[in-house]
Amino acid sequence: MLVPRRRVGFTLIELLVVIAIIAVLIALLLPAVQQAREAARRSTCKNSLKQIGLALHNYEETSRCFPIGMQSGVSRPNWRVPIFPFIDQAPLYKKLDLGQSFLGTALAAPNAVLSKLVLPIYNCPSSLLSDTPTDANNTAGTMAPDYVGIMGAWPDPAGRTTVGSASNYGGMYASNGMLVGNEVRRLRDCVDGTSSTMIVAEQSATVGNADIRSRYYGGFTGISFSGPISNTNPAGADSWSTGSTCVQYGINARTTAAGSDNTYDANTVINSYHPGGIHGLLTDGSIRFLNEKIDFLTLRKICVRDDRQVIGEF
Amino acid sequence: MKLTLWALRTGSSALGMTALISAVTFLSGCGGGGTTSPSGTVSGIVTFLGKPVTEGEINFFSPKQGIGAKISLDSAGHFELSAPIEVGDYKVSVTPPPLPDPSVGTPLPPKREQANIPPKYRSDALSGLVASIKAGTNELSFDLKP
Repeated sequence: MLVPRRRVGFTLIELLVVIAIIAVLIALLLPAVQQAREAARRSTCKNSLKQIGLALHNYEETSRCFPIGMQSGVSRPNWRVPIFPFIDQAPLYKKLDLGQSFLGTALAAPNAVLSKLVLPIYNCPSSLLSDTPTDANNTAGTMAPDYVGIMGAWPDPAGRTTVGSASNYGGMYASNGMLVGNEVRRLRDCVDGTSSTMIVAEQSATVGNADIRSRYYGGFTGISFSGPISNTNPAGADSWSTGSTCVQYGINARTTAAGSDNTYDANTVINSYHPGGIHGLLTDGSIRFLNEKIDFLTLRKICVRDDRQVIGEF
Repeated sequence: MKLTLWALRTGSSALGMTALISAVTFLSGCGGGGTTSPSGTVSGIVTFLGKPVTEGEINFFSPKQGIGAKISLDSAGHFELSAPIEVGDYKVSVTPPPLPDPSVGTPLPPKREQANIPPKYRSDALSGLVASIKAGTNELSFDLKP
């Protein structure tokens, strides 16, 4: 009886098959590995925004209202400061003197501690922009946060003309959002529902080649005019601010326009380096990735608290 | 595909499978990708009763798309946007030159009246000027009236 001869080693075909299989697996894996880094940065960014959301809600629990978006005069802190105790920065908050100036040109002790201080929660890891940009109006280099409050949207989705007026530097101020100027907002003011109203959005990229985040005199300053925003205020008065934006231009807008071409403007663009969109914090504390191709009317409805319009899926 | 068929014919099912997988992997596109919307370059002239408006800015704003752009007028009343903008219908307004950057403690410079830009043209809600931007080049002219 013939015993089949045992082959030793591989045939060429078997070797080729193994190589081909390995090649296919690597081809499948490579893009995934390369996207993992951005995915990780995106989830860190999401986490920071979630912390900000929880902080705003903890503030609301304590004070029965959200912080004032921006208060006048300009040297007074915007909403980014009063939530310090709720983002694990209680020692910093205790150190600060809220009666003293927060201007990046006039930081005196004890507020000078903010000079060059980077709070990781206000920083999107995908952002290539400087954390503490230093220029003539921010000689101390206070932080320029990558997240901006939403004071509303313009034109108003419900067509109301009473909720905003023009800035003398171009662009529109509005009071139809959640973090507005010189007014507190409570949860009950969120008429459209907390899960369909944005309160904070990402602002962490350039427009064209310029860094136009809301950060004039540093990221912690206020608004130049007093009184709630309406069609009669500021109405031509000197009006500039830091901390919140009235959404008049789409996500990741590439051109600057009236109200979005200076760091003190009312309509600074919400944008990010994440591919295809930004993270938005809704008033209920949830985080949504908003595609830059979102219908602009839908985006405006999300930014407005009381338009009473139906929002579909977004 | 030829490779797949050849492999199947020769009876090497493993090789056939591999070839099939690679064919599927390499042939199937990943879809998506950045589809850029068509856009057009914009230039033109602004006049007031036939005379060029030599100082000021022209603003474009599309409330439907949320796109805006602005550029200064030159000494002949001409303008040319530095980057193309997406096609669509834009509201147009003409405003006096921008104010210098604000600074704390410095009073606002006195308002300069500019008679060749009547107030209604300074707001896109009231100006009534519109521009329909098409793909390619757009040459516009706006004549302001008192």
